[in-house]
Amino acid sequence: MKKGFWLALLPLLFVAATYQSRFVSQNWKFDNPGIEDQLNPLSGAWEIVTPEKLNQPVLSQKVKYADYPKVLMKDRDYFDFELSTKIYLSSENQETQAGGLILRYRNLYSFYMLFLNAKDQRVTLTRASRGGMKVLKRVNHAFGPDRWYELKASCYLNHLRAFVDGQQILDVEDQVSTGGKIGLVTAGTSRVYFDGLQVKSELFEVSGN
Amino acid sequence: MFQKICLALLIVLVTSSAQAQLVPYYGKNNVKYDTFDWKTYKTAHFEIFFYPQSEKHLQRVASMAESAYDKISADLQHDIEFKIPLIFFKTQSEFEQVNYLQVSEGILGVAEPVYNRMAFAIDQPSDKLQLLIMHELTHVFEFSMLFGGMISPVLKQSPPLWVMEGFAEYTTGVWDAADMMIVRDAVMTERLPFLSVKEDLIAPGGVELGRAPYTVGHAAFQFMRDKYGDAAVRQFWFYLKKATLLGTEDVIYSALGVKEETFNEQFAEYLRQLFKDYRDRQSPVDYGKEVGVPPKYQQVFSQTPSPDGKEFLVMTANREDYEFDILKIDATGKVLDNLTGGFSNSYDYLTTDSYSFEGRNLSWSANGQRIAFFARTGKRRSLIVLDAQRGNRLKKIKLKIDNAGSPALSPDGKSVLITGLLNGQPDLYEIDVDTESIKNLTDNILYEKTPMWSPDGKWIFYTSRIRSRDQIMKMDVSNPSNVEQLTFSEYDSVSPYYDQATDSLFYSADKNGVFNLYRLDLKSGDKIQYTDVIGGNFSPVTLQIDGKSRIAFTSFFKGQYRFFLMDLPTPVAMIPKDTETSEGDTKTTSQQLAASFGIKDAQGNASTDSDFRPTKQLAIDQGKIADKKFRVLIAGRPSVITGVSGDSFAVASGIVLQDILGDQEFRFFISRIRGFQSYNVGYLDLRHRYQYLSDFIFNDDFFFAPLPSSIASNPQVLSSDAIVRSRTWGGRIISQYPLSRLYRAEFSAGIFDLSEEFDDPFIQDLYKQYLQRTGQDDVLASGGYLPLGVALVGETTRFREFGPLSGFTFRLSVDYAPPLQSSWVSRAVYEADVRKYFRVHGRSVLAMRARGFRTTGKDPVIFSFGGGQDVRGFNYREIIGTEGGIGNLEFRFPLFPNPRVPFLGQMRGKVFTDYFRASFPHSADTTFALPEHNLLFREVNHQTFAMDVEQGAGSIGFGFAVFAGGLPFNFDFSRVYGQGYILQPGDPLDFSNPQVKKFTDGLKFDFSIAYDF
Repeated sequence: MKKGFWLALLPLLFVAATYQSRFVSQNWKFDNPGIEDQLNPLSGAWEIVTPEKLNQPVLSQKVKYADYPKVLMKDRDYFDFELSTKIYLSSENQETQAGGLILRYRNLYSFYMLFLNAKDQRVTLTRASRGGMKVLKRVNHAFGPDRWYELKASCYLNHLRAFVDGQQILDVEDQVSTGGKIGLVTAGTSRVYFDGLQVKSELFEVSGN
Repeated sequence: MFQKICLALLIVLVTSSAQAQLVPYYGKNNVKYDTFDWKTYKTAHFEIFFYPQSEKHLQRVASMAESAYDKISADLQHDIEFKIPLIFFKTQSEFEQVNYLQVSEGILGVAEPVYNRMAFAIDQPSDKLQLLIMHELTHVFEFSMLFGGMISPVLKQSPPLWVMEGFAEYTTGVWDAADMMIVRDAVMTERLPFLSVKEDLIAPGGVELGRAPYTVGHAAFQFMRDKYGDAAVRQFWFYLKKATLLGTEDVIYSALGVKEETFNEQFAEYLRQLFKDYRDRQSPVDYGKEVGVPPKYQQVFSQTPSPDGKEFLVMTANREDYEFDILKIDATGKVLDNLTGGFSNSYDYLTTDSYSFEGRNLSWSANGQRIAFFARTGKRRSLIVLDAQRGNRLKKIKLKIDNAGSPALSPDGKSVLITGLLNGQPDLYEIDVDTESIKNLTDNILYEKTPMWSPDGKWIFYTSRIRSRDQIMKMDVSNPSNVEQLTFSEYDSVSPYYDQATDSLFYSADKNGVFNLYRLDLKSGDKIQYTDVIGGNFSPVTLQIDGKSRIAFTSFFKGQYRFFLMDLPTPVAMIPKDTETSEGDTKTTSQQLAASFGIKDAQGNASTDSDFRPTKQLAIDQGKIADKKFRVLIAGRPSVITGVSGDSFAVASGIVLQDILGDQEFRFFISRIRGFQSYNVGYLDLRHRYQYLSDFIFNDDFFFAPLPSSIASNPQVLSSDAIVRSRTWGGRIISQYPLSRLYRAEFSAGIFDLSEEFDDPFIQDLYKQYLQRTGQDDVLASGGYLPLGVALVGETTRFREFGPLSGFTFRLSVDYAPPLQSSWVSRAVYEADVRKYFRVHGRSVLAMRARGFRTTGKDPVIFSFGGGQDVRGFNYREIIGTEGGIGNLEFRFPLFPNPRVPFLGQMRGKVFTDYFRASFPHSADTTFALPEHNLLFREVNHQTFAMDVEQGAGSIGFGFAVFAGGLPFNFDFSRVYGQGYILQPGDPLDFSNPQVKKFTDGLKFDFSIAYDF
């Protein structure tokens, strides 16, 4: 303790001095004009609609040909972050009622999808790879269609967690993908409405010596 | 392409004895139905090979080839420094008879990298043939750019299929609507495979790739050009060449400056932008309901409804049987019957039209009584007509028409319309089912497809390809020359179906590059578009179900052709009458077309060969046509084949010098089994249906011989030393005549000098002394030898990568060597080998084999067998006899079908029982030096057991086979049983004691590298 201890701490102090961290928060509201320019649809046809029963502008996907219609936000890559949306799974389609978040999208063959499924009443985290989709965890929970839920994902290092209305539902460790784009996804012909998307992230930047 | 070459090289090794050990099958016949009198003609860049029957197409093909060369050479800024061998066949069925490679239906053309030969059939519309020639020629340019004259053995890395095939498609500069559909569907439904230069396409989720390497590869090069420029494409090939030779280059990074992942993401984004206008379009699930087939089937290539619209016939791919099946299903997809279940020997396989989207491979007569389809039988296809209710076959009409397809039963089921080519000319024909008479209804140069009767039988609707577009035609049945062209579009209109209720034709057309469903109102002439999909809709058929109009159709969606039913949807668009018509465009006779296009033949007359003009027109100088000369090529690298059975190791190697067309071969082989070495130099003639091999051989082989008891009891002699060395040298002719693809007759004749004696000089001396002492005849043969043989071989077996799955095999043979002189070998040999395979379930097989042999004459053959996959539990060739038989019964089943371990293939298990008898028959007039009892010695309860194999012996056991590097490594464990005498220590063998049946001690382990029988 004494001299040797302080000497050992010196490198840590140096690192702290050369890197700076800052929190960023981004909030996309789907009633904003021009919001569609900030969307990068990968599959399906996404549009801002105002359903009669909701009476507010929301983001929705309308075609039936894609297995997992996806839209990414035209934004930076995120590594450690919290991503949340308000999601409404409509009972219009009896066959599938699922939608959710895209996390750490690197490319077509590397990303995560967090689904809230009202039909099967569960939350599922999947990972895409060149070999196809792999379910990392599936947790059953009592969800229902035709109501709003707040779906949130938290990604820190290899720790991925999912919250619904503030309650943690799912907790997974996976280290394949460390960062990438964020976005929204639906499943097959599900009729899903999204009301906004928020991301909070701690960004580390090199400040120089 | 490369795999086919390798396969062809393997096939030439069939006579190697080591090969016979490893792959113990007789094989089906690749029948040469025709003998081609090959001619050659040299153009600026090609040496063209053709035959008199195809000579009338020489000018067309030469013009197309040179036109293709000009374009590709200019595009790539690259030239080929030698004349490219171009081999063309009049029809696909003739192309399939090419000898230097294996071609099956569906392979329209092939180019190979060693000698840059490109070969194809020309029996398709000229505009499509031009694209095919460009495609194959691009491969030759690829080989030149990559290998630069070097032969593939130096390659470190073979480029993936998407690079080779994609670039060949890209170079044509043309997007086929059906190809673009595959890419568009892959992008819109997120099935775009990952592109890597180091490996073949990887599809997300293991989706079937099918034609994706061609289409996605095409799009990838288009993207490369659009984003990075033409120079980048050339850079790509430059670095690909380095990677191919050195195996170290990251091609995409070097050429484009981005990593593969980034390239893929850019490519995906490029395609998303390319197809962004399609985002809002429909898919068949928007208005239809898929009628799915069970999971063991994949895709629906054809569908036709029953007259009441309640049942459907669908042609689909059976993933377990690797063949097409025709299912009878209901509207929910429930399978009511499989009309072609199991494996049939009455035809080779069911056939489809050349292009999947045409989708007219099945017909169900309007009276509901008959069903018709085509199946391959021999050289061409046969029309199969079934009773619709019972499913039994009413007719199998063998046709002399090539590429016969698109069957359409008349309303009364008595005649069938088909399309096909006779003497290379495509036409529409009517066949009387009862009399089998054939009537040509069109007799012009146009390609007719997908005919359809009107319900009253007065009209025929079909398509003709005019000026590179498929147009719908209407023919008066009472006067077939009365033809009316109904569409005049700048796009393809295919598969018309007449709907009586609306007096309309429903059909599929690729207006704006996407196949959608349309209706042509025959009264008003208006066209109504009903769908607007991201993929493609095909083959519409209207139904009346409970008074309600519905449409059945196939749709390419999510990577597959699927079957859908829908109510008539709301029209998407209308094309008013006459808006697409060009006045005076109707020219339906060959002469009219030829005059219209201004094509003239060498004599200045209007040519009736084609309605398509390549960019360059060559005139043929008849004086330059020459007979093909024999030119020797080395057919690939010298191969090495090894086999192991117990303690015996076999190795064989050879080299084949081949004619440029593979019709004639000189072969040099050397093989070595257990230290005995053999040489073989031969000439193989494959030009005719009757084929022969003439060779000189020096054969050094061995077998175990029976020792007279006085020698066997010599303490200095071990039974394992009783090896007879058999040396044969001389010449022979082996020939075969295939009766069909399944059966053949084999003939052989030779003249040899034969010498057999014990390999151990000590035993040989004892044996000679024994013969002198007893006056018995020498059982070992020596002297001149003139064997004459005949055999009948049948092979119906369906093979999988692990071996036989179903069917039967037999070989019955007689060999006779006449006693020309007293010193000459004289014998007769009778052999039979019969096998039957029952598919128990999926990939489980019950296999049975019975073999018998018998030899007579003054120089009997001593057969030897045992070990390997022969009789397990016994040493290799340990069992001997001059007559006997072997029976095997084996159940084989998958253990780990897909172990996912590098270099290891599947693992299969087996339980088996082997049984045999072998004897040396004795009679009053035989004085051979043969033992009276055929004994093998084993241990039972640690006591010596003299097993009398004349009374029968065998083994039961289990084992497994692991496939590694494509070879089956067998590990077998067995208990041996037999009948014989237990010897007490010191007691002599007393044959008066009763025999006992016993299992011998221990579990016997056998290792072998060989395929199952």
